[in-house]
Amino acid sequence: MKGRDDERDAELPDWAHAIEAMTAPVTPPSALRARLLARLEGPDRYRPFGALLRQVFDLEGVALDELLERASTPSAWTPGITPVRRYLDFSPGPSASALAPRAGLVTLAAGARIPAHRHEEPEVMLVLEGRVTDNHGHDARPGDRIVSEVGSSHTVDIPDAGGAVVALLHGKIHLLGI
Amino acid sequence: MIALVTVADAEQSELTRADDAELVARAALGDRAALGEIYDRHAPKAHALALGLLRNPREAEDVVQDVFLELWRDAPSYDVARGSPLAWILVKTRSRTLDRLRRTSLRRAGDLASPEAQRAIRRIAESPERAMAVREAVAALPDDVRDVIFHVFFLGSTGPEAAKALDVPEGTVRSRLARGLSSLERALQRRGKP
Repeated sequence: MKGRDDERDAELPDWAHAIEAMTAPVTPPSALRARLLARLEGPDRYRPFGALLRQVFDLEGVALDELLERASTPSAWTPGITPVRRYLDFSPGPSASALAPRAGLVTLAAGARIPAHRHEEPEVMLVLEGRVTDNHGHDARPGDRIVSEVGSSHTVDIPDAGGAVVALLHGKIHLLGI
Repeated sequence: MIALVTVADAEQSELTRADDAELVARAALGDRAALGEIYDRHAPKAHALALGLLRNPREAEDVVQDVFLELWRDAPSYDVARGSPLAWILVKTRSRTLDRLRRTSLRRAGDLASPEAQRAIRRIAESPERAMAVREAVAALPDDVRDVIFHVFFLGSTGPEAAKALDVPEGTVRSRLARGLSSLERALQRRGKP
């Protein structure tokens, strides 16, 4: 939502400092903080990663909003099998689909390991929560991506006690040693 | 080959700004506690600003929530070199508050005015480049007409509220509003504005 005053943002830092000096703070009701944090736990949870999600998964504005809304709806998730706690499939945009056919949000269990596997198709893993490490020394945090080319292989671990949540653009993999 | 693509760290700055900037950098990585800390530090100032302009607690709270949700969304693109997070928050609070004031004033003025006046309101409001011309034209209005324009447009008063504040019948408020809008349109047309 944009207003005409956004055009004058460049001249406002001095004004903003003056307001800061003149304005006696008025603490909002505690319920407002609770409402804000509820939004951050809900549909706006992954909003800071909006630009990355749009970029990696080629999502238009409405598609991104719909994904974030679904991600905040427990019934939209499907229970998984360890190391996957639950997952939520979604459709990547055209250019992302050209890279790899499937996309999903995946919650990975704390202490879990994705055993050694080879990527038959490219994969991009965008970390949204927690940490993801692999046997190549990569240590990915929120906002980081692990990009796997065709033919590459690794073992993936979820070291943090809280587990991890990732957005995955993926295709076929082949489990090694089986 | 498997590659790791990392997010860039936030830049260093003086102690007070660095603390806020670091919080914004953490919020950019989805750290909800960091946004909560920024809220605790600066929501009271934003709330005071919105409350002073809107004079409506519920609307002021909505503005504050919107501003901090916007910070949460835009944290990844926040550039500390352009100003402190507090300045950003106050600037956005002012913008969003004025947006609400305009919508409220337009709605209330629309309730009072004739269909022709309502069309005039929309034409005036939809031309941001005419803001200065509008202010000059308002200043040139007779005192009694300007008072009505001020109460309806800038204070967001209803007809009964303006009538009570100005100690005139509500019908007088309506007729002065119509005269004021008509004068504004003529003044703007004389200045060559569409």
